[in-house]
Amino acid sequence: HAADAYVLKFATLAPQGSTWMKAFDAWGKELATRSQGRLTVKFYPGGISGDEPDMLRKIRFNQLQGAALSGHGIGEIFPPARILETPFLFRDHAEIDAVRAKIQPVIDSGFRNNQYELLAWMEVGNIHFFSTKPLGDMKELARRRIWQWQGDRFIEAFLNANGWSPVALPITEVYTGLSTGLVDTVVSTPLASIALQWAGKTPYMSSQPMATGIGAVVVSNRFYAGLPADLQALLKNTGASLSQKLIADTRRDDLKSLGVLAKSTQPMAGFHMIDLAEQTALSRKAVSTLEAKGYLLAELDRRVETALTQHRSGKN
Amino acid sequence: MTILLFVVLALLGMPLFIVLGAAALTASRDAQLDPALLIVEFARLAASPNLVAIPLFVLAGATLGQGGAPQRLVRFFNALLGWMPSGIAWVAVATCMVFTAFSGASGVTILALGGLLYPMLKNEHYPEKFALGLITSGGSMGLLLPPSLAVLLYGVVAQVNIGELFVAGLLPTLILFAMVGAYALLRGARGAHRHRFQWHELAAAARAGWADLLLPVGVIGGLAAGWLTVAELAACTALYALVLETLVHRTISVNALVWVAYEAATLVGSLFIILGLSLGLTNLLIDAQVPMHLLEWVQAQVTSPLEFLMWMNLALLAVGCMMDIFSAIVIVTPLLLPLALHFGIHPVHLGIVILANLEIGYLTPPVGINLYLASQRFKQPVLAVFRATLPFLGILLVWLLLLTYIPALSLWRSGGG
Amino acid sequence: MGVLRACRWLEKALTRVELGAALLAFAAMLALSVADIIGRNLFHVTLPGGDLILRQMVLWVALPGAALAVAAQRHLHLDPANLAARPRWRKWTAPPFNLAAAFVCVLLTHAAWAYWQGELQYQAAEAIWLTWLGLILPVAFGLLALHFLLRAVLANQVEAA
Ligand code: NA
Ligand code: NA
Repeated sequence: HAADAYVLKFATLAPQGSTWMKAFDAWGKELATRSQGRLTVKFYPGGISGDEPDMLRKIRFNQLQGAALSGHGIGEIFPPARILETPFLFRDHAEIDAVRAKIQPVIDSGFRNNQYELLAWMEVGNIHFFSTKPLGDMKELARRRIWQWQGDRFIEAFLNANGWSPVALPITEVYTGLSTGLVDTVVSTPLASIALQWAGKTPYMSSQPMATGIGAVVVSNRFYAGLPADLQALLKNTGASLSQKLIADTRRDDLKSLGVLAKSTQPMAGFHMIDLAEQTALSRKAVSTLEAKGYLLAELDRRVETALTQHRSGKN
Repeated sequence: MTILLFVVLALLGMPLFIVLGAAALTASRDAQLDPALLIVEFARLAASPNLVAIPLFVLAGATLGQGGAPQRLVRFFNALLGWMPSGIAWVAVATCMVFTAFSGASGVTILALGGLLYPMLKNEHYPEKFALGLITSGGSMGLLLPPSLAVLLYGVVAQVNIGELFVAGLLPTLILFAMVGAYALLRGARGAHRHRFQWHELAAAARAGWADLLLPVGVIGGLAAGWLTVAELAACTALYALVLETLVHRTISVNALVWVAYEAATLVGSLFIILGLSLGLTNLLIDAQVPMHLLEWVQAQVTSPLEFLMWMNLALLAVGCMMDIFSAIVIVTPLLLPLALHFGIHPVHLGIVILANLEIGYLTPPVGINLYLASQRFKQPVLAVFRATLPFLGILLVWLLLLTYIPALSLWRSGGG
Repeated sequence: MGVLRACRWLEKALTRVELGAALLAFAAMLALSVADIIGRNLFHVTLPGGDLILRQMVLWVALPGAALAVAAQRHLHLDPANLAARPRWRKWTAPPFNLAAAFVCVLLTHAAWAYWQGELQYQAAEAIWLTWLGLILPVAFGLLALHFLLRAVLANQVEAA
């Protein structure tokens, strides 16, 4: 029945063959099987549909209906969720899981109120610095050409708080930028660095992670609302297990990639001298700047803080 | 049916960007997509830092053109190569190559240099047909030299290091130069008399033209050494050209600068509007998953890299007949890159082959811009121009085969493949 | 006769404004590039948003340039049969061809306007200036349409003059 067949055109930066694309492919097959062919997914992987802001534009004009986004894309939908990416806020994944469980309903409704249905929460891995040059001490970062995802106000606030002057580029230009010297330092995850082939250009890596990058699998409200109830339920159900799988796979493969890179790269020595107390204070400063601009929600940030304190005192 | 209509309109002289725009609008409607998506893609012209280099290099080229660089180049190469057997032919090829690189390979070479070189060749008793063919085809040779816009564009689209591309293009350009020169020696003017080589004339010509000649050298040096990014280098080049012509040579007055900017802006405008709309068309191809299906299909049909290269050459020659070089690069590269990677072809080698192919496209009807420009410039029927370029087309094809099947010609610096 | 003169005046005025825009954009590109090279390498500071403005300037050179190219009839085109050399062919085809081109440009203007409205709605308040720079897209496509309309009226007139 042609009238009863739905096609979800879905874009992601994750290249074919990556951890994420493998999970998405399996998800697409599951959707097709369980809906008996009524709901099929057409994938546009590897950034073929452009940068994340481009994907969101294409969703707006209904060329695409869904996408897998990282923090930058999430920031264009429901920025307050990015509090989970604050540098040096969490100590380990268990803390993240505990806190996110508490605020998940807020995130869900935040997406819904901004014209997206959140199907699966995901992660992109632990965030490190990668560079084409060694780093003697932290002060040298002021002279580095640090890539900043164009339009990413979250990372911009943190770079500004540190007094670094970034180079704003779409993610699709980073590989070329690293080759031509337009940027020499990127903030990324081991898994993404390998998947996007940046790792081959950056022989230096900071050994300590700063934060864990967030991600989300979304479809537009318009598409979701147009589906019959059983297909909506199917998307939601498969989304929940997709989320679990994506998070588990990403954590596993990111650790594996870190191991690979630890062998093939030199450490950025400057980061060994990092002052955690100072960095935490800088993060707090950046967070309050973002709260003042209405990018982050002070109320949600307090809830995150409370949940984290509770978790740490073992009372969750 | 509609495609046929668009082809006819293009052949009747409708501006190409209008034909592209109409095609993109129609295709959007057929795919039930919002035409605003075409502009989403168009706006991405402002997203690529390397693309910034193109207007600035065009500005530099227009400044040099207005400031008498063509005359200085002709004089220099004449003093340097004019003594050789069939010297003026060597001079013509060398000048055309360097100027094509300056002027962005948009066919401007024929307009700018035709008036200088054509009479020179005829004065030296070269056959008219030979002169016509040499200048028409010379208008596309040099496409691989820095700072050629076509190379920049390929680098941007394929995300390949532009400095590496320019280095890779040096040897192929030199080979083409030798091949065309050798042909001139055999077929050009056996009776043409040779000039005496004069040191003082070479010194004088070099004194007048060294600053112009420094430009391509500086660009490739700067890129290969990695001191500056492409866009920064373009800005420096434009400033250098402006200072050179207004303050050193004093060939351009302040009023003439407005004219230079006008020339540069119209050229950039006529190229970028085609580019922007090509991006829109490419997005429609991606939406229909054409690249993915093509990859699957080719993987099933083609087994060896050699076989792939052969089919690619044939396909690109067909593309070169139908499309202008700038939209061809934008549309074809994303389709071919994954295929080439699958067959283990180096992206730099792929770039040289694509560009060499499209260089030939300048001379193949129905969409062969150089044929029309030469026909306008020299008041000759297009068919006569085409016939005159046929021997050169043959040379270019042999050259293309060499580049395609001997990757080392492009990759000797990039470390094999 | 008054209409024709008005058309001629309008074409000339538009050309001047477009050339002015392109000139300023070129100057801005050069200034921003130099400021960035010097600032970044010598003082380790950059103009906030400088690289974004620089890239927007590409559109500000190219789009007015495209409009100028219509007035000067310098857009890339093919004409294998060299029809343009025949006055009678030009006389009869100039109005319909230019009108058709204007129509295509009107559709593109409409698309550009829809795009720009979306940007205005979804761009963050902090970066809204970027959206205003992007206004060149619908404006320039509109100008292209207008230029083709003027060409449709003037093509044969200028020939006669
Ligand atoms: Na790109
Ligand atoms: Na052709």
